[in-house]
Amino acid sequence: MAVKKRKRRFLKKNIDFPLAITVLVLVAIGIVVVFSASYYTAEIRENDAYFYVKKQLIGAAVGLVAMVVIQNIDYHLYAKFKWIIFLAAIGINLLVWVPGLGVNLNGAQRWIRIPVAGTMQPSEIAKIGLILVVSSELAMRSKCLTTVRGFLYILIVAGIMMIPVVLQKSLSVTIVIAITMVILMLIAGMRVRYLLATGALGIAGAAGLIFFSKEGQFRISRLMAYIDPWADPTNTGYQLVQSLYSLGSGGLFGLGLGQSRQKYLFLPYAESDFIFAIISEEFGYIGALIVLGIYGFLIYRCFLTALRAPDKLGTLIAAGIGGVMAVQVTMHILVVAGAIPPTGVPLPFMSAGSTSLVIFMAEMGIVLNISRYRTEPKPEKKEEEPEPETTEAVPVSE
Amino acid sequence: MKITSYTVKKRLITTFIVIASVFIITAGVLFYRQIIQAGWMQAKANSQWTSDLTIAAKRGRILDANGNVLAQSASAKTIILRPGAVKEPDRVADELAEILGMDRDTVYQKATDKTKSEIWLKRQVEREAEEKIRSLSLAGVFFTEDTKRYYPYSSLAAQLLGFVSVDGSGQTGLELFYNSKLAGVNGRIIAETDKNGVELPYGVARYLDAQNGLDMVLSVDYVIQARAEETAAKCLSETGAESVVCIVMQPKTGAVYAMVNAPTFDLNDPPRSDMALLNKLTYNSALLMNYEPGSTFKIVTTAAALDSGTAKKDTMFYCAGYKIVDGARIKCWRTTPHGSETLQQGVCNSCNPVFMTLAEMMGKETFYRYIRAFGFGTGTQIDFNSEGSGIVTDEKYVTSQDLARIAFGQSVAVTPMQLITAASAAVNGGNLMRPYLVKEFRTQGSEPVTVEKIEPMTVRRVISEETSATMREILEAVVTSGGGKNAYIPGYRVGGKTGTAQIYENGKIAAGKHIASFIGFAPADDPQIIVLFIVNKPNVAVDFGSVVAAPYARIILEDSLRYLGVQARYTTDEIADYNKKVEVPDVRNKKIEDAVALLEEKGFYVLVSGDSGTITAQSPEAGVAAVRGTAVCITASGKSAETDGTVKVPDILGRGEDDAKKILTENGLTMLKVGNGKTAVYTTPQVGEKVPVGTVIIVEFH
Repeated sequence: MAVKKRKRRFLKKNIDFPLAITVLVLVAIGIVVVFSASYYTAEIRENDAYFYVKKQLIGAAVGLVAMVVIQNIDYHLYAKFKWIIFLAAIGINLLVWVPGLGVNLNGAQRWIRIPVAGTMQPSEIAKIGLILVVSSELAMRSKCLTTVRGFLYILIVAGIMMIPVVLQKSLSVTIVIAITMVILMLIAGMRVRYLLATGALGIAGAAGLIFFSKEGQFRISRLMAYIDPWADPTNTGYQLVQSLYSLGSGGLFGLGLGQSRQKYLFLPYAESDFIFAIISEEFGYIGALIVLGIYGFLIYRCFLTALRAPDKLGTLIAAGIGGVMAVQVTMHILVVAGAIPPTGVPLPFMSAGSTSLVIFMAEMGIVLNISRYRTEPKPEKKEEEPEPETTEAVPVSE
Repeated sequence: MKITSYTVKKRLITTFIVIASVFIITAGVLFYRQIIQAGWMQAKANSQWTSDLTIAAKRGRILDANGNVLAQSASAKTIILRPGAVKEPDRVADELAEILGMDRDTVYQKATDKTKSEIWLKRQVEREAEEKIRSLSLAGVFFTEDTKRYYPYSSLAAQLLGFVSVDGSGQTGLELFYNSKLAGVNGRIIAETDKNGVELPYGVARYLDAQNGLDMVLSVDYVIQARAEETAAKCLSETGAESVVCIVMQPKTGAVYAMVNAPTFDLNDPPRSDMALLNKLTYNSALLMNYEPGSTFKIVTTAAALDSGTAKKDTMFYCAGYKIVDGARIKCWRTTPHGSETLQQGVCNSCNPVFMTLAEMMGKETFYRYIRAFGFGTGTQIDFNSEGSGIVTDEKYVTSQDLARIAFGQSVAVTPMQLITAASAAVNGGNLMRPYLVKEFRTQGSEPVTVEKIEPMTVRRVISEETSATMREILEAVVTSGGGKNAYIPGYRVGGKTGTAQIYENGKIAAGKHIASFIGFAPADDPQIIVLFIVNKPNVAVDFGSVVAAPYARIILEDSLRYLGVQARYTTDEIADYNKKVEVPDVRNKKIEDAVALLEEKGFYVLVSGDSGTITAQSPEAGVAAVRGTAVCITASGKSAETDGTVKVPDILGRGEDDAKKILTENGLTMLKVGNGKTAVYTTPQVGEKVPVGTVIIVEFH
């Protein structure tokens, strides 16, 4: 049936330009902010004020190429080669334990060395790999959605892909993937009770892991720090306190571009895990809202693409990628604002890190490719509608 | 169940709505942090963004009248730890503890205390230690400017100079009183910094330059002060007194040459931890002690009687050994009555009935007018942070008996400063001068500019010139033929008055405890110097002022007069006495102290080489007749003797006085200064001549 559909709409349309432009805008803002946030630290640590921004520019260039190439690759190929993707994602994630390739940073074994680019976190690849594999499975095997056996099959496939990520002890990536999986299965039409049951099981398992592992104690202390960072503002609460200083200092209008004070070594990881704090400090609440709005628009375009996709595969991949963006953006900002326990989640397109930027842009390439097979008759008109979810729903649901 | 595309779309839209809602919540959280909590955060953030550094103003020096440095600030460093930047806490602790003499665990604990961004480890670290630490280039160890106050003569004039706190501000004495002038005004650097305190390249900074403090020149003369302190220390050890107070002053101007409180302490290391001891040692008795002066107060009674015309120098009085005042029998100090005597004889005898009679004759109003005019009952306005004012019973409540006692120095309390100021007025021509310690303030540096000069200030005329002249005659007689004989100095006309006063303890007269004092001035016809020497509770059989105070005052007077260049004029009697030859005693095999005492008693000038053991050789030999004042060289076994007891007169031509004196002293020679110039031009014996050790070299200055 899917094959039939694909053949029928062989004629490709233009990519979804609003989405493409949004991505470019975010990447551009990211480069500026990374420079502002990192030059002082870079000058001191790397003896080169442009250390991070150079990498970011290279990442953006490579990412752009990747995005342009990938938006031309028929997304059905991912379904076709899902097992290759499956194995590749696991394989790459196992590389972190290969001596000479794996890099241990701050006591965590979750990076691999890449010539020229430096290091990359392969769990980013696991993320997109999982979305592609699980989307393919969900789109092809409708039994997965309605039977317990099918459901368990999906869990096992996803679980196997997750193993290396969990072993890398990358809690944030694990959580992001877990939430994305839930979103995917939900949208695919999975029975809600399966998801609820799994959710309860997952939470119980996670709680057990936290309380009975050595790591758990460490995680609990971080959790406590997030509840009251001022209880220990120079040690466990330090990062968060400094992040909150950034937000507060920004106020409504911000200190102005390049005027952040917290970036002068006060705020650790100002260019990566806490970059939104610098955005808030320099551009104020208004600037923060604008950036948040741009992300909202990006996610909206992803979901719109999902809605208009010619088949379920396209819908799920586009929604999965949109979902992953939404989860990362939200988690990043909530960490920065001290609303959830601090955990390192990069802000898509903005946090310094060339490989993750390339991967994010490549993901956008996939969504752009899906957008080329969109089915609605008058796209221009629809895009200008202010409340897209409701208005879009009616014409496409026939 | 069949999954329709409708279900998928419905769930797609629902998911998006949930995401949109989460975004709105996120925006709300940001609103709370960025708008509602903004003020609070900004205030907290601001304090970590800026550093406020003080640029310490350089504190002025304290100089003596001739420019000798008595107190000086030198730059030092404060060692600061920034635990956040410390990379090797163990090494930091080991090295710093070693160099700074601190406890290793304390240093380690501070170096690893991450709750603080900055800890001051130690202040006033001197250059040597600083350089050692710098050479180690320890991460996390920083330096800031600090200063340390040095007192080159450690205990010299300790109560007078006072000391500073670790922050460098005056805590006691002149350091406190003139703190604002000495301290200057600190500057500030307010700068934006990064987390490690490094100033930002384009940060906003505000610089306020420091204004250095002023150098303070005292009227106090190092040489006289040092001599007075030595003498006071000698007195303490010889009389076993509890304390000694001594003031040396220029009677005509009120310039204080020396102010001594013994025992004393080291200004470089005051006993800060023992508050009681510190308070006791820093107490400036010369200005603060209220005591019953006893007979020295008779100067005031006499001057008042003479000036008011109540009596003359030769007015006759009669001492029956006591006097009945208002029905009470008040005794003279001597049980045998003095009988008939003139006023001058009365003063020489220190006969109490004479003064009781004077007070009676003057009457309360007149006597009190003079007591007040001489400055009793009020402070002397000296430039010091605290001063006693004495206790003078209000006129209204004074009985005749009280008045009679006041006349000979009881029932009245004075401070040493009040007494010496009043006595100065009695002999300087009749003017009460304001005593002063500081004569000049000038800027620091190689080319000082005088900012303020303190001129002598007459408070009021107390008695007439003639009365004052009479007072000088009477008081000189006290020394030549009265109770002050022990202060007699051949070649100088010395005037003075002794005093022995009771001490009150818990409101009762303490038996057997006295304050013995002597006030003396010279030359009697033209006073250049006045000395008050007070011995508190001497522990010797005869504790009269004439015995335990006058001899010490004499030492200070004589040495100061010579130092000040007051020419000695010997009377014919004195010369005859001086030239009388004395046999040099045999001091061989005696202990140094005994030998010195024996020789000095005979009037010889003693030069000792060696510093311990017994005397092995002496020159001139025992039995030789020599005039008094001849130098006798003795050699002690403790140290090898000089080659042959002779030295060459060193080349001091062209040198200043201090230099010349120092060089001669180092060579075992004594300098006698002739002329008023600044450079030495001629010596007798001449430079290069071989002379016995101890020879007096006459040096002419032009």
